[in-house]
Parts: sequence; structure tokens; C-alpha cells
Amino acid sequence: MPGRPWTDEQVEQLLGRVLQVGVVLAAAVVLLGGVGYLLGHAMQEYDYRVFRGEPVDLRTLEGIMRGALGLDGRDVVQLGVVLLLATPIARVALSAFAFARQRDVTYVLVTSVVLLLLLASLLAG
Amino acid sequence: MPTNVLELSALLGLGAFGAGIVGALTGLGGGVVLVPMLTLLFKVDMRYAIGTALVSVIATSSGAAAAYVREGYSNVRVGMFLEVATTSGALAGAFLAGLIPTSALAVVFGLFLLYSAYVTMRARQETGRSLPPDPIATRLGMNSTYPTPQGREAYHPQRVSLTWGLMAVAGLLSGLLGVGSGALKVLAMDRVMRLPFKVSTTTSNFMIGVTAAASAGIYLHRGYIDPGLAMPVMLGVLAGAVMGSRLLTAAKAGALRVLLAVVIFALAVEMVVHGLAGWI
Repeated sequence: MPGRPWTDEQVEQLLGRVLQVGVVLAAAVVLLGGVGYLLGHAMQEYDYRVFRGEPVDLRTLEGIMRGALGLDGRDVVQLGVVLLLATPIARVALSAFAFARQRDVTYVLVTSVVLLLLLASLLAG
Repeated sequence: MPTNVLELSALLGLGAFGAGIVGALTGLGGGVVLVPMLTLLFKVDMRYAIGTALVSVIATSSGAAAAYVREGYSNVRVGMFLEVATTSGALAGAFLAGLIPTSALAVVFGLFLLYSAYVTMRARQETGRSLPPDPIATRLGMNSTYPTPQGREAYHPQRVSLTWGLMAVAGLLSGLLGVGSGALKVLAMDRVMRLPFKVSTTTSNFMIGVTAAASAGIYLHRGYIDPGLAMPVMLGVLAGAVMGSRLLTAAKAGALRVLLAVVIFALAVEMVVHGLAGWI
């Protein structure tokens, strides 16, 4: 219903849907990347006892995108992880929009602070 | 011990599946079980373990919140207001985690587990909540209603500032240890804010994903999240959580709760010992 403020119930329905779609999408991408990773590395040895940190292409958004477009299984998994991290962020962004439609200035501010903190974490570095 | 990537993925996936079922049945998040499993059983460095656990925490919390939020229990305004505290705390926690040696992290984690074991054991009872409206909560539009067998009932959140402070601590622990710290969030909303129990648990679940996402971004950029660990753990936990929520209606979780408390207690002691001995 355009022009009318969204009710809390409608917003909650929509938030639930966003979360559901986000998680399913992220899991599907991780599964695809995982199959690719296992096909290429199944018999490889591993060692997680010593922390080395991930290489640049697995820890920056730019590197992950580039690798995922090149269909590197490990980068596709990381892309799924990024989609998963983006899911709560999308939920918060949607809440901010919904509060704006309700002309609830206090909660537009509150939600914007949370959104900024989340974006700073995901986009920094 | 698994020797190659395929075996590791299969075993981790299976373990995470179990953690997902237990999490759904008892309400205790995956992180509490996953970090000790990864470090003690699979000998994974604490930093990789924390990064991996955070990913699974976001997955299960978002999955569960999707279902809860539509049942009309969770209080979106309370959740959003307190998320300012939890996300700030989580960013601080993720920052601190980079400065603290892993052996010290293991000790802190062990102590956190002890507290979780205690919370898991404790019986829960719904008390009557006919409290007068609090002026701050009213100003913030937090008063609401929730569904009961007798229709929707009103409730009035109390002591907003104290709850906010506790949430900052919950966020800090979440960012520091890679857990959802749902137990602490529920405690704050249930005991301090005096929300109905079902409102506390569902709102907590709603907040956990956002809290974990705040620190997970930092961990990703710091190279703590490895695809070879994240893949089996995230998929396993999600499958387990779906299975667990199906079982939930059929099984009573009482006996399982006691068993889990015992297991967590043992893991807590193990984590503290490993941390103090410098094995982690």
C-alpha cells in the first residue's frame, strides 16, 4: 500500500524473508564453492595448527570477487561467507528504511548507527 | 586424526551437524561447542577457530530469527536499540582479540563456558510480569505485546541503561571469543529488562547475527576465516539446526540440557588447563 506507513507486523514479515533468502543464498554459494574446492584439493594435506592468516585474495572483498569470478573454489566459498555477513546488514538497512517510512526519527538514527558500524567492519581493510 | 582435506571436511561437517542439533534443542548457540571442538579435537589454532565459529553463529542466528521474527515474539525496537551496544562491543572485542595471546583467550573462553554450563543447568520459569511502564523505555517506544494462550498480553521493559551496559559486555565477549553470547543477552533482557522469557530468547536470537557480523568483517580482513574450515562447519551447523528444530516439537530437551551442561563443564576445564599450560 504505497503512501501508508508500514506496520510493525508487515516489517517483521519482510525482515524474516530477507534473513531466510540471505542464508539460503549464502549456503548455496558456499556449497558450490566447497564442491569446487574439494574436487581440486581433496587429497591435499592441511595444517591449521599454526596460524598463518589467509592470503590477500581470501581476505579482501576485491580479492574474493576476482577469485570467485575466476571460479576458484576457495574464493567462491569466501564469497558465500561475505553474502552471509551481508545478510544481517541488509536486515538492518531494511529496518532503517522501514523506520523512515514510519517517520520514527529516533529509530532511524539508532538503526543508522548500527548500519554504519557494520559497514565499517565489512568494508574496511 | 584426518589426514587430508576430504577427511577433514567430512569429520568437521559431521561435528558441526551435531553442534547444530544440540544448539537448536537447547538454545545454546553453536560457538560455545564449536570453538572447543575445533581447538581441542581438531587442533586448529584458536584464531581460525574463532573466525569459523563466528560464521556459523551468523548462519544459525539468521536462520532461526527468520522463523521467530514472523511469530511476533521478538521486539524489533528493543533489539535495534541494544544492537548499538552489542555491535560497538563486538568491534572492540575483535580489536582486543588481535592484542591478546591465544593462551589467555583460551582461559577467558573456559571461564565463559563455565558460566554457560551454569546457565544451561538452571531451570527457567515464566513469572508474572505486570510491571508499570518505565519512562525511558516508553520514550523509546519499547512497550509492546506478545502472544500468549489468552491472547496478546502487554509488557513494559525496565532499566534500559543497565541492560544497554550489559549488552556492550555481551558484544565484547562475542567479538573476542567468536560466540553469539546469547546466554548473556537473554540474561540481561530476562532478569534486568524483565521481558517475557520468549520475547528475550527470540529478540536475543535476532540480535546475535548482527553482533557477530560486526566482528566477523574484521576477522575476515585479518585472515582468520579460512574457506576450508568455514565451508564444512557452516553447512554442517545449518543442516543440524534445521534437523534440531524439527526434533524440538517431538523431544523434551530436559535430559539433554543436563548432559550438555556436563559436557560444557568438561570442555571449560579443558580449555582453562590448555590455556594455562600454553598448549593453545
